[in-house]
Amino acid sequence: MKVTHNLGEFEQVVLLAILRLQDEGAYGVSIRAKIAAHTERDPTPGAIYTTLERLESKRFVKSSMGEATAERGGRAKRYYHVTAQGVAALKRAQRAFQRLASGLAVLGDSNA
Amino acid sequence: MRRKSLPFALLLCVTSAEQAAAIEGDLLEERAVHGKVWFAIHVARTVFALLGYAVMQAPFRTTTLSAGAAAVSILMCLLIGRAFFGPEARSSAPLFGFATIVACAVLIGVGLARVAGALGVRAAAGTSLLLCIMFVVAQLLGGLEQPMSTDVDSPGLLAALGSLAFNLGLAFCLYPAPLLIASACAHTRRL
Repeated sequence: MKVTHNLGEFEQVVLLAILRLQDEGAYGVSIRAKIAAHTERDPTPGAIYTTLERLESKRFVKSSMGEATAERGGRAKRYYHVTAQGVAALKRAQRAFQRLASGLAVLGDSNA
Repeated sequence: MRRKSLPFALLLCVTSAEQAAAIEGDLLEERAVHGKVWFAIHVARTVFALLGYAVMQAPFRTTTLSAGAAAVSILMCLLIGRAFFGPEARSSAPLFGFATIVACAVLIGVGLARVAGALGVRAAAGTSLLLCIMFVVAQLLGGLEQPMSTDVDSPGLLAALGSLAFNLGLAFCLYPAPLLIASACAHTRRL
């Protein structure tokens, strides 16, 4: 039986940040900076890495190792990419959110 | 050859070598902006965050292993303590009993942690972590054994509680450090 994993709110935020960083390269530091720049939150590195591990275990993201640099103490970057399953899960979550929010006057929906 | 640093060794206890290296690199990159204090705080916070995640992945297994290891550890401390110092030494000189518990628990804990760390690396980083948690809980509960061993000359509830608090405090300071170091050593041997 196929198991469908649902996305938590922060997981969606992380996935969206990774999608926005596809050209520049999405790794821990850039993901954290992108979330801080676009949302009113400053996530800790610990929160980012546990979320990335969870997303990878659900196969919503995959990772690959990049280049090491001197400023990183000779440690390589770990880049993340959203998989097709991750995109599908994100679309499901966004559609569910829109269905729930649609027509709610308190949210200022014009279709209310 | 990779440089082996303390942050890397700590991160190795909670995640794979590749991920530990990448996380350390990320935090080093941010250290240039936020400073060394920020770096140290967030190494610790990241280790604990990943530790909590690993435990949550298998809470029942963690609890069962910890309870089983605690029972084994207490039994071994009792048996070895009595073998070296005898039951009389515990009533006439409470310090001997405490020293026995500390010495035996440290020797057993560190020795077994080295073996467990090496075995854990071959299995998986997560398994190694569970074994570390198992021994930490076992040693902490081992510190409970001394106040529980009462005799007719025991000084009373307040002293027993004081002894318990002291044992647990000492156990908390002593035992997690050797276990983490042993696990990290076992991990870094693979580099």
